Amino acid sequence: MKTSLFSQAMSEVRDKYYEEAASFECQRTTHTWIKWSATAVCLAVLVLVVFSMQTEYLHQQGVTQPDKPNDVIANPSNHDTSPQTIAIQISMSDIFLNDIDIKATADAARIWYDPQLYRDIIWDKVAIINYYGKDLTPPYVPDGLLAAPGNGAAQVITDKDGNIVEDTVWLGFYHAYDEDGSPKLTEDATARKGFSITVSKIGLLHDCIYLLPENEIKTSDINGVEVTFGYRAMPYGPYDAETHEPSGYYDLYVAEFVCDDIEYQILANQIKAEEVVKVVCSIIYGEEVAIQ
Amino acid sequence: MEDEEIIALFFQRSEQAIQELEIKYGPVFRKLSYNIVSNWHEAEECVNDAYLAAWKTIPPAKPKPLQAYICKIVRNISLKCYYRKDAAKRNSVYTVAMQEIEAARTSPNPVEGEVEARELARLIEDFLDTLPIKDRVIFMRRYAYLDAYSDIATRVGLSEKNVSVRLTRIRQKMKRYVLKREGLV
Repeated sequence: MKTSLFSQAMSEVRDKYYEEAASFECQRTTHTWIKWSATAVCLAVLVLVVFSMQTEYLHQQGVTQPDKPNDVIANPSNHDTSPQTIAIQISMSDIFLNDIDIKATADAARIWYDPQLYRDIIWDKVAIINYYGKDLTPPYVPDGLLAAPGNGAAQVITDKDGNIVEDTVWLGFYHAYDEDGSPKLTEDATARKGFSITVSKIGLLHDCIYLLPENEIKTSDINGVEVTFGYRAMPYGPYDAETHEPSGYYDLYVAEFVCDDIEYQILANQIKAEEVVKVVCSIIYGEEVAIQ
Repeated sequence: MEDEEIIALFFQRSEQAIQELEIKYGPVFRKLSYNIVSNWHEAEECVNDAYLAAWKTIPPAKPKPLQAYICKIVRNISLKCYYRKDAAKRNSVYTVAMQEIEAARTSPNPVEGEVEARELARLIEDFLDTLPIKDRVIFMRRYAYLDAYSDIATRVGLSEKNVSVRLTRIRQKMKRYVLKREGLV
């Protein structure tokens, strides 16, 4: 059969099949506890390993381990009295990078504001700076990434009394853009390359779901700011007809934190972990920070 | 709002019907369209065109289920948009999904081109009835809703690889089924 005919036929398939596929929700099996128990055991082992490693690091400040290429330098605690910047090296893959659940990419429900009661307002860059008290562009942006055309403006929502009820501002930094301003996908991996920053003072709609329960998610301390990093190796197609393996994987990182009463969520595709951490550090410190 | 209430608004010729439709199913329609046209701006336009088509056809149509009815309209409009685009720019979930099906095509039967889409749709429906519900959903999500493997995996509670394996088996099964029905085996 020709693909166009098949496609046309799929449009002719009766509604009940569409409905069934739209309303289907998987039933969780009773064996879910086994998976979580195993996860808990692994976590317990991890915690022990991490604890022993941290103790060792505290005695070896400034020493870089050559066999850990993915390690991240985070700032030490504020109790450090040394005049020099002393870095504690932490393994992101073991501690700070929480695995992101597959549902992280699911559509988030949108809040609908009744136009009879609320109104949309466009903020320009000056209005954004006045509200947030600073320019939200991070001091560090990796080479090759460009600011999105829409970065200078934001659409917020106020009630009829002028009170702001939705203050989310989105900034994008990607390698290239389509004519309509949306980030282009790369040719090798069908995904965006770059990162976005979403900020809010009122509160973001968190749609990043981690594999671990909330009370077990690890955070990284960067200059006193608790940052939650997430990671997922995202597969991209087409999938091999024989082995069913994807064509490859690209890195997806998420960083979430609150700094100066502003909630941040950074979503990065196809850039290195170190670059993501540099972006986060530059926001927290207000200037570019060297990562060893 | 319930589907029946939305349809009632259509029958009253109230524009509120479109708003309610958008609130309830807007993200679903946009995702479906985006999977085909691979551009959010165009997806938005396709969905708006679908709303207009719904406005023109309801009444007299009184679709039940409503979501499936509009999904089909969105799908058809998005496919038209897709085929209008330059072939070189095609890079959507739809392209990949159709490449998969192309590999599952049956023998070069000279009469296959004459098979009407509607006839084929009935054949596909008969085939779908032979599948367990989960496989049926996986097939429909992939080739009707054009979902990515990761989205299907989330919905049906399987790994992406498992979804890939199942889809391969379903395609092979469909090929055998079509050949059998055409009397070629």
